[in-house]
Amino acid sequence: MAIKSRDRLLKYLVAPAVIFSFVAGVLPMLYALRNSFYNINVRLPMQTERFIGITNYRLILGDNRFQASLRNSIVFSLEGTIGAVLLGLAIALFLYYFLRNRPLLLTGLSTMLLIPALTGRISVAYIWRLLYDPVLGLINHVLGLLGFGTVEFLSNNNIAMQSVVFTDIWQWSGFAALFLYAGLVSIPREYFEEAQVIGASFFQRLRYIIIPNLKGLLLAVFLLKFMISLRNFDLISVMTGGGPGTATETVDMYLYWLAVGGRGLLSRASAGAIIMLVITIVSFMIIINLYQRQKVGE
Amino acid sequence: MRKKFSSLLVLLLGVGLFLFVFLPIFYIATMSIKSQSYVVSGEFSLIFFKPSFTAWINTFNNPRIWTGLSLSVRTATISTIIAVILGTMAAYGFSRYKFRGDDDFLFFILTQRMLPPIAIFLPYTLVWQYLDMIGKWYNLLIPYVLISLPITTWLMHAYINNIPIELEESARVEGCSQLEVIWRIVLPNSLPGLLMTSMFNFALLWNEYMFALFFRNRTLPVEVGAGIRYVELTPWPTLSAQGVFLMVLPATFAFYLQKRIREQPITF
Repeated sequence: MAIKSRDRLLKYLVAPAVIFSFVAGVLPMLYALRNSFYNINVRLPMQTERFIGITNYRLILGDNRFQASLRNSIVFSLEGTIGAVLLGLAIALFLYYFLRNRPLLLTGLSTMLLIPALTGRISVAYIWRLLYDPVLGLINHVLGLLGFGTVEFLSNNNIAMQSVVFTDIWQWSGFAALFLYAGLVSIPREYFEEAQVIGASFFQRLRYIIIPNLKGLLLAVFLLKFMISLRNFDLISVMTGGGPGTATETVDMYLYWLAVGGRGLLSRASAGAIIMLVITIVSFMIIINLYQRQKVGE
Repeated sequence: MRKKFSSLLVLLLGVGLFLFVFLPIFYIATMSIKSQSYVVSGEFSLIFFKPSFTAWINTFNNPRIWTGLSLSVRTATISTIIAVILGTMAAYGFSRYKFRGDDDFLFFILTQRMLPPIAIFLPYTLVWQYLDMIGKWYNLLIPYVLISLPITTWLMHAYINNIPIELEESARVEGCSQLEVIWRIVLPNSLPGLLMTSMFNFALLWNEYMFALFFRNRTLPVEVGAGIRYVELTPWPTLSAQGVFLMVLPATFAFYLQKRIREQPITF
């Protein structure tokens, strides 16, 4: 890291972003925290606001649909993140081992790999809804040619979530691959040459050279993808609308419905949002802790 | 023999990888130039069908697509510019200025990205209602800057850290003021990073759906996403054309961005 100066002016450069984040980010969170202890209902604007203590928390935690949506959010985020990072690592290794010295192919394939990540979730949802379609879908057509029956990817309770997760992995694995490729290239060549000399197998190289040198980057990509996974409303609401039933309904979708779409229970939804916020912060703390510990170990 | 076999395997893997990404996009693109009657007729061909541009003509004749486009361009551009200016200033400060808790402040900005979107939406909706701002286009600017500022600061911080500080020091020795240093040395050197960050942000905000829907702004993703509510007989060619229309602009960034991402590892 560069040697830092103590010029006064530089301090004022930081201020606007910090102040903005506080006013536009932290204050609304505090407002949501306050609201979660009241009885605000957007369907009853004339009702007087009343402090009702932890009632909202008790009700939302006992709500089966909230528990299910929380489980769905966690499954979607974890599976999608782990899947995209692992597949991304595999793709990055492929690019590194076979295409590193073929710039034209590498550029072409990398460009292709990045397009899904830049594509909006709405378009991605359309693409995969179409592919999964029982009648028009390419996947069911191929399955039909191979002699299998039609699979209802998005309307079968047992596989709807996995179908959505697979879409998410498709969208982000190429993005993860490019980030990890940059890390692979920056590993000193001598390590690999030495491995060659002692005749290390591919898996030994993976275990003793690649993973240790890539640990920091892997965690950074994991964190980045996890943040992206938290914004899942667009993908899932267009692909399945939370269905079949509530099999793919995530916290965002349920709380929105609770606050605005359904009975207007904004305060109860705020309690749910605060719970989600706490879970998110705790899981990020764990990841960041791991990240910093490995940084110290370097 | 073994060498030949392994290069064949590499070729197969490479083609497989290409098709894995390409086929889904190709499929929706061809769907957009099929006619509705062909689609419902039950015939199936990936390439050999009579093209029909009805879906695209429908899309371009739909005034909602154009109002959505103009709203999307406006909100995404303005928010990107604000976020990039604020984020780059902060990134430079964090990279070059030492003060108590500077890493904590940097981390604080990054945490804004971890907020669950619903936790942002719920308090904002009350405030916007109070200010009568639901449905006004500019109600998106603050949430948009909020979600793009962390990524901007993070990427620019990683980028500016790689610009050698010696360049700035020698300019100072030659009598440039701090502002001149920023204008003449830092900005020209961070131009590729600025371009990369702006593209990322623009793509993120161009594709943003949830806040636009919740705050009742019919941006392009909201107009396109509304198409799925058909209960029976989904008009897939039209939806496909709209889906493709939505993805074209950010996809043009792919070539530039893949080069930048591969160039140097970006960590925290």
